[in-house]
Amino acid sequence: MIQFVREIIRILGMSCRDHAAVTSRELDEPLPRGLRAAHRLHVLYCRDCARFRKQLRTLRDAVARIDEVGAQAGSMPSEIRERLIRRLETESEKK
Amino acid sequence: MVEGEAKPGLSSSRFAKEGANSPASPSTAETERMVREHGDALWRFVMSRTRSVELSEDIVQETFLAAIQGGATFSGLSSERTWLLAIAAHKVADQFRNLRKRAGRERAAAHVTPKAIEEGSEFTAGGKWVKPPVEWTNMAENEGETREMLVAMRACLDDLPPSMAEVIWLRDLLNIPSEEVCKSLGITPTNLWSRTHRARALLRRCVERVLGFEKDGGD
Repeated sequence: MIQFVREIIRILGMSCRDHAAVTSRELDEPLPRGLRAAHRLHVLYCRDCARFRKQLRTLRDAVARIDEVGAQAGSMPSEIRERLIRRLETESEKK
Repeated sequence: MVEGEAKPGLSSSRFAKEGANSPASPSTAETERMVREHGDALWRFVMSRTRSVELSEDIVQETFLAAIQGGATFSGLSSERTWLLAIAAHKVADQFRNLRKRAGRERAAAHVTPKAIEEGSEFTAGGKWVKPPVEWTNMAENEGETREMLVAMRACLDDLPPSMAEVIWLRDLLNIPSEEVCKSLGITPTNLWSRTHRARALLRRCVERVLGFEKDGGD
């Protein structure tokens, strides 16, 4: 328990730069209990970090839709597909 | 600064399960199946990043070759398609690294907004925001604005240093598990975590600039 409280105190001393890194880490993995609690608390009172957190989440979700814009590549042209298969077969035979 | 110089091409064996006892190379029928099943997905992924038919053909071919020559086994943490896309992502990033090297400090892609990517620290020495994030207006709620953001993000992703764009493709676009990305890039989890954070922060700042939200008007 004492260790947990110490950890909370250490985390509460973290800067916005540290919390920005935690925001990204949170997108990838569950945070340890103390860090998660302190981070949530920080973004409750720090408007800038709360905004950063929201925007990073928006961007992460938007990345999945990135191919909706830009080049509409479509399917691989059939002549390229056939050429590719022939080359790969040749390479496989070389092995 | 551009993190990570060109590395040898991604060896598919890095995605392979060590000691996997599969045949050294797949049969002709297996090769054909892989191309027919995953060719279009790989083509779209590579074409939408290189915008060049010739380059895409080369990269897709190199991807399949790497997969075949690497023993055509993968960790099983992701699907066969994800594994192939991850190899392709690395090949594309390598291509961009080479282009950048050749172009020196010039931008590899002419269409990107100069200075949109700004690598200076967003924080003071004491860890406070220098330029705090600006509120983006209802981006997720308005389809038109979301589209505008996607376009901005696409341009920004294209302009990120290849090693940064690569981790975003691998983690956020393809959802490759962290352990697999670490193995494929030959970096530690801490390095991946820090690189991914830097990449996302750069991307966020770039999108903010391109969308014109930055308070001082930027460049």
